Amino acid sequence: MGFGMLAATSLFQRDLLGASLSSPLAPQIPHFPPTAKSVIFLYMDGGVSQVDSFDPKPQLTKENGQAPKFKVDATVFNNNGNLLKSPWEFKNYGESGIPISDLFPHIGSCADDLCVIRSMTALSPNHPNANYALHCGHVLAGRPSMGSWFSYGLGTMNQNLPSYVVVNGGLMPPGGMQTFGNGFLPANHQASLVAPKHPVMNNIQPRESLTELQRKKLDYLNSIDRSLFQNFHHADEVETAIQNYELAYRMQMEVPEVTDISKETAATKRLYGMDSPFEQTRQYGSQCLIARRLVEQGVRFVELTVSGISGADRWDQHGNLKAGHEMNAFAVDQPIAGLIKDLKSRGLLDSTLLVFSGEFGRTPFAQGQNGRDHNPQGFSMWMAGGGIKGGTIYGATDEYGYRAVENKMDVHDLHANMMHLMGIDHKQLTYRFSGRDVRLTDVHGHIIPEILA
Amino acid sequence: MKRVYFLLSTVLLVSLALLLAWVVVLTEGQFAAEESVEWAQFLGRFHPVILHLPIGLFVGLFVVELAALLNRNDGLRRSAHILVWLMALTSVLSAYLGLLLASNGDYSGDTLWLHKWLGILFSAGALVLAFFKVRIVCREGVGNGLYRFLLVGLLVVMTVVGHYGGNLTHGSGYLTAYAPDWLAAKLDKPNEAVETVVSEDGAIESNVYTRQIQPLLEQYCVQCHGIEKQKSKYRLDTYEYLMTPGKMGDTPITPSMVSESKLIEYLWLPESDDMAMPPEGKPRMSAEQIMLITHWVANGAEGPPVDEAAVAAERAALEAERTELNQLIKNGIMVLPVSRGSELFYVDFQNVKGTVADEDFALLANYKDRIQELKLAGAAVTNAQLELLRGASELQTLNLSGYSSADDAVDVIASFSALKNLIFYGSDLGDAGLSKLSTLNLDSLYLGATNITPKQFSAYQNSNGAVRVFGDVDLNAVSAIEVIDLENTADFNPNKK
Repeated sequence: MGFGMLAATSLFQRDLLGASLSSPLAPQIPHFPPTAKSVIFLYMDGGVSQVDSFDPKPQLTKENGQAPKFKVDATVFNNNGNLLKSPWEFKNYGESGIPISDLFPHIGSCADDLCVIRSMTALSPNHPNANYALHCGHVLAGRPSMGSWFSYGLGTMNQNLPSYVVVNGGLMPPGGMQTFGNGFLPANHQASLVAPKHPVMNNIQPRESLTELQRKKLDYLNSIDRSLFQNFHHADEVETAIQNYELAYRMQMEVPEVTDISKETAATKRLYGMDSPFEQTRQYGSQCLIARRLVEQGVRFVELTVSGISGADRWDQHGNLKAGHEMNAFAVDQPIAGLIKDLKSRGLLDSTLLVFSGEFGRTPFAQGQNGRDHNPQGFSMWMAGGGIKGGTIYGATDEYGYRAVENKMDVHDLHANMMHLMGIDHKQLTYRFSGRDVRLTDVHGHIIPEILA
Repeated sequence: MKRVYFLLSTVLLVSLALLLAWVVVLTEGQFAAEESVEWAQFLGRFHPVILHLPIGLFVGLFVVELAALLNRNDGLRRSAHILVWLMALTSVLSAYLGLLLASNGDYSGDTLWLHKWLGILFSAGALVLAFFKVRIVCREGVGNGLYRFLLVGLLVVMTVVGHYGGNLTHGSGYLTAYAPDWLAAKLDKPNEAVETVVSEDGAIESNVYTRQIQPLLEQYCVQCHGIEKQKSKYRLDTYEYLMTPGKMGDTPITPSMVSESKLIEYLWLPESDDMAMPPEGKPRMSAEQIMLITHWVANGAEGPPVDEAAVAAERAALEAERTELNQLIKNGIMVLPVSRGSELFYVDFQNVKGTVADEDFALLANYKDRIQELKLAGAAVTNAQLELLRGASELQTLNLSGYSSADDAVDVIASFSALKNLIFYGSDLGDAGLSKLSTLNLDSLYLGATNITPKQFSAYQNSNGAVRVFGDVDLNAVSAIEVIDLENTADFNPNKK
């Protein structure tokens, strides 16, 4: 037995940091060498239409206005009309020639960094359930969100910031806060929400005029909690509360600093579209910029939600597809491309995994005259950076873009691959709950070598 | 009449002896060459059934002879006469079957060799004993002395043969595994059943591998995957071999990775499967036993206790290392293994605000040849400190974003021979520094927001074609896309809003 073996099995795992950092968010050692250290999850709330974004379907254009020749499943509204061609043209981008619609010309300019997955499927056709599945791997509420799993499995580098941060654009996803919940994992692993405006976080400014005063208050609170903790042997909830107070105390300094984008150069702000004539673009730009700053500071998992500004809506265009998708695309296209380019320029794209996905896609046939209904059978998403093979297209839908027919993927596969890139064996990361060693991927999930660099 | 009996008996005993010799030759030669002869294998398996007969009969014979000696009773002598025949016939039958069993290749090694030849010796001795007895009974001139001498001799041989036979079936530690301590000490054999090691935190705990895993492998696997035989070039007789790849290229086990452990897969396969281990017909492990091995692998597959002094020294070194690293971590310098089991570190100054204490950096420098990735993350590290890392041999990724006096750091950076990714974003690197970087065999170089002139930037790019060089983002290209974007958004024009 060599030096390494003993080191690996006894000394260098979770207990390494125990002596010096008694924090539940202390960094943990990955199962194998990771290619990504952080995730930025670009959540496209409502469901982007795949045939209008990353999955061109000439057959749909050809048969525009005709009744579908294929079997149509019942949809949510079941007000299904004829086939509806995409109102947008597609162009081939980059050396890889990935076709992307005119909705996303900025993201198109990053095509060679993207791995477009055209065969994604959802576990439910309803917003909240599909959303829980996308975030937590299960259609019902109450399971830990993937960000919580990453926090639990890997901890975080920066001890003054939470490990899992949602930069909240203002529109709470269907399903509410449980989407970001820690479920049965210790509460330290739930998401902390910051807003891209003042105040970034409620109560982040101390009420006490003197730091010592606040410290004394906290110490007193701590001593009360400790005695409670001792009365209830190993009460996780009490321990978590104590830890949360301490983290919040440290965050008072760090959060305002990390979310302050005023010091960014004009060029950077321009890159993220913060000089856009459109308020939503400016807001999403600041969200992306904050996401980059958080990742730079070592935060493990960052999620961006879409805008809650008056007049904004999720990607859920049951009607008025053209205006609605154009507005949403305009809001996120330049900021996301800016984020990719900025990360790349700073040498951070290789260690940051970007995931762009809605909870499902949309039907290739119309709902009413000019909308599209929910479609969980097949849709597109993409990943970039962090060990993903750029310039790749994986999987395919049928000729109308309705069902995934080749290399079908589901949320468990997505989670398994995200974990793999972060150095976690998704089969090994478990938490004992209700008598079972529970995984994010339950009993599913396949690693897909074709999408890995 | 006695004469006829004597002659017939002699002929029978001699032919049995010749038959024994023939079976020995047969199994040594022809059978041994082939993997298995079906009928031989079938008959051979009756060896353990038959062999207890001669043992019992021999003990009976011995006791009867002893009683006859003390009592001078003719009835006892006649009983002994019958017993000696039965014993000789069953022992030679047992030898035939044993030789057939040995020939099918399931058993090998020193133990087998001893058991086999002592068994042959015993059977041959039994025939001679029977012959002596017949001569005594027929008054053909042999005295009781030689007979009794042989009787005692064979008792000794039988005991030894039986012991080795038992070892072959149950494994060599079977008999003494649960011996009390004082006896185990006398036998000069460590008592494996209660062997303990002192764990890291000082608690006494049993070693799972030595106590539970190894005996299982010994019992079910090592016959074909051990020192004598290595079917498919796999061995399972030592801890190290469990992690040594065989013919298929897989390692039997990968600690903590059950799905990467072929041994576990083969054990769980149903007996009917071609890859199932032990193969069809061999004794199989119970589900509980397989589960035990599976759990052991899943929980890191800790190995056997090793040389106490070496382990203690190693542990002390690791303990010292841990104390040092924890000191660094406490001061905000994250020094973490890149993955479980790795001796290489990812070093991150994320939690350091401002300057780094010289003694911390000096401490870190002790580990310079184990740093794979270093992220200064804006900590105010000086060139004098960086100099301490000179020659770091494993450093692949170095993030010097925002570094000051970068030009003067290039000299020490050039000494990092394994360097692949070098990030100077936002540092004050200038043309002078860049020109000195050509000696490095980089994969990627990040030069955005530095003082490098466009001229020098393209000069470097031209002369280092293999390096991916990243500069500032081209905002003109962004502007061009913006124009197109506004043209394409016909129904939605943000300028109107």
